[in-house]
Amino acid sequence: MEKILRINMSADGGPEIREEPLGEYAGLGGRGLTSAIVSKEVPPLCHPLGPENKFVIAPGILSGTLAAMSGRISVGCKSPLTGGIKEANAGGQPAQVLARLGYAAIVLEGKPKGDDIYKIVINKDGVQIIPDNSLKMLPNYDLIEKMKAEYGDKIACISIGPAGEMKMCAASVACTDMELRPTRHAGRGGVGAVMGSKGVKVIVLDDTGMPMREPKDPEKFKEANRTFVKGLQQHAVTGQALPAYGTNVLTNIINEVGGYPTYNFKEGQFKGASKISGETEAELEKQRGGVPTHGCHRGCVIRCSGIYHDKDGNYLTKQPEYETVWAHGGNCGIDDMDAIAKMDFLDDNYGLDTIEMGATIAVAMEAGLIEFGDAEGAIRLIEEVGKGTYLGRILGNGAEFTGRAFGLERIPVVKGQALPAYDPRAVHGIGVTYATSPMGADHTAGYAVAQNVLKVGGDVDPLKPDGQIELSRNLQIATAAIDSTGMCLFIAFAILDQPETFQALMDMLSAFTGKEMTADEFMELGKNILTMERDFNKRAGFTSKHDRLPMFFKTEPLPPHNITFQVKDEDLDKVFNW
Amino acid sequence: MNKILIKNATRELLTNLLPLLQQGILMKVTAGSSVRDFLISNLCLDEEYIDRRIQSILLNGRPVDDPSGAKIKDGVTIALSSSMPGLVGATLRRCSPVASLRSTLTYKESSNIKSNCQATVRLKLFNLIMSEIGPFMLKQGVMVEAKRIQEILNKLNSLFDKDRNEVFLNNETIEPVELLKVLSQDDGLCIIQIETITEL
Ligand code: SF4
Repeated sequence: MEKILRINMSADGGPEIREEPLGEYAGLGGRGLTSAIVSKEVPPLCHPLGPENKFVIAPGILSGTLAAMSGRISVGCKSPLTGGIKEANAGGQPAQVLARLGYAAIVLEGKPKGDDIYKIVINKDGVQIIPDNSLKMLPNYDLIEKMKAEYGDKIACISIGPAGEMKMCAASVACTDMELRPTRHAGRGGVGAVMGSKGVKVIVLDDTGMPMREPKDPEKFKEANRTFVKGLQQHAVTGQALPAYGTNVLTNIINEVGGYPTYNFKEGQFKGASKISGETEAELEKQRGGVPTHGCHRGCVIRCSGIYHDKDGNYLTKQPEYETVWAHGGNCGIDDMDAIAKMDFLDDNYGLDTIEMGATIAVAMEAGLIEFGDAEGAIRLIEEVGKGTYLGRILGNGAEFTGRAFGLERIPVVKGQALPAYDPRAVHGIGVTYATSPMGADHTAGYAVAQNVLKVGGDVDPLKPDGQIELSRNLQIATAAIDSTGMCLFIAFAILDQPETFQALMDMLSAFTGKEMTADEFMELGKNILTMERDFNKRAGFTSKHDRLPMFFKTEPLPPHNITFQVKDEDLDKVFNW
Repeated sequence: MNKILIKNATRELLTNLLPLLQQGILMKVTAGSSVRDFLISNLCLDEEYIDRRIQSILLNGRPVDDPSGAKIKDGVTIALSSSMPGLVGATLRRCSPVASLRSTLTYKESSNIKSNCQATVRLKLFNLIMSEIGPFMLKQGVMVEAKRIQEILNKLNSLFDKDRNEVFLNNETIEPVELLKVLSQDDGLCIIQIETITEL
């Protein structure tokens, strides 16, 4: 991972490939690298779909090594949805494969002159970029089948569906999983539209013949990895709850506390929650011959994912995760697990962010386009998006665009991006992160709950209400750092409770790079990333007014606890005071 | 109140009945007792299990940090969960280091609770707690709405039939199809108890 692959799509005579050493970006990976490149090289005021924007893909620092859980890949650009900097990440196989091929990043620059669509093929022999108009408007599953037929089944792919080609703001970038299915998506912020604007349909990666990335100190690395894996396996969340039920295990408890956004954030509890809970979903998968415990990439030891079969026992989609089940389920008043799974498949196939699409459909339901609870109607709306009808083009541009098109006031977005599956009126602290994250409303922005890092900036009494600002700050910093390692964020639970597991992660990073990594340095890395991202947004015209939740969260009490969001604006402005 | 007993139940049948517990069962307890006492006396859980395994206790949807201080009133709902993923999952844990993020939601005890009279509590068991404690509770018998039992048994087809199971309604044998008819006309509560073929 000592080089960057740059492809200039605007070059005379067709796309031009060049390789560069890492230079000033040395030592960075994942989100750290995508945000550094975007913040340094992209003019903040450019149009996100224009030639000045850059589309950056970067595996994490530890991707491609033997480190467990290190298969996350970051996708960065200026977002067409938020207008600010974006990093969206995904699991699947591409991070490991791209890292083994020696690339710290792929950067797509410029914009092709004609309307040809390209595929990029990277293997041990080099890089090819080939126009292939037979791929135009293919949904992701068909596209990957075609790539498999052409390049064999040892490949990993990064692709867009029709939504990306139509440059919709809800378009995702798909990554293939271990079964070579396009099920893992860098979903948020319309990154698929930017890949589409570069004219690239798919990147085919094949690391056959390439070695595993070697750490500087292999013995120390192996030992740290062993401790790390042991820590993950012995913890109740990473060793039991997530493998047994997946992330959808959250439905029951979030619903019970009244923080489960229902009917477009009108209520905090959904009557049908137990019908779509992780417990119910896992049981259904077992009964139908699916798999409730499955990794999204080789080397995942938590295995929070699964495989969902239809009533006849045939593959329908990967196990829909909590955010998806909520977005297409409770938020739309739908309690039919099969309908939700179908929507998950359609989103993956057309290349759409499941959170944005679920939130958009709920907004459309509030606008009266279809009734809340109408599962068939919701499926039809996603199909409109896939076909690119006029209505589909409105919906495919996300909740805010749809809300405006239908004259609605209650649109649950921050910086144009739909809120995820936790109502900030119930859990105010997550509202602080939703409001202030440079990414727009993002539940993963402040995810990295680790006792050690929480103490940075002083001890916060966990039961005192006034610690929310400091906590959100530290959580966002730690998350930005983890997002750079290539590690799945779900490791956070084991490192919260087990200092030796946190230390093992630090040891792994130290043994890999040959440079000692302390908790303080780790936090410094996170701070630098957030500073770059905030700086980009500021130059793009963002002010403190963009760090706010929509007004209705402050004025509409949320049943059943009837609470409004009460964190003061001046406190929100303190999150990034460092 | 009708009482149902299903004998010779397979583990599979038992697993299929566990969703009754995620939606909640009703229990008669003493008002004014603490949540911790309830877990020890009524659910027969040991201190270690309570402290290690039950990481989130919700009383009327509010996270409880001190189960010894939180008191039970008539009509409350208690939900139990093991530790959960996600930042919000982490905030809901007892005395979580990130508990301040949910400070407006946190359970606060009010003083005016009538003690020593009987209270009805709805108990919900989620995730690992459901799969670990649930089977024993079903073996002892649980009180739930008859309609919910009917809804679940209805979907079981071959798992619940006369060739496999011996079914009793109020100590009299009854065919599974007949039981479903009775339950469909029952708008009240009933008790269901399961005896499995093998020991749990
Ligand atoms: S824990 Fe889940 S999301 Fe994370 S790497 Fe494993 S399967 Fe993928």
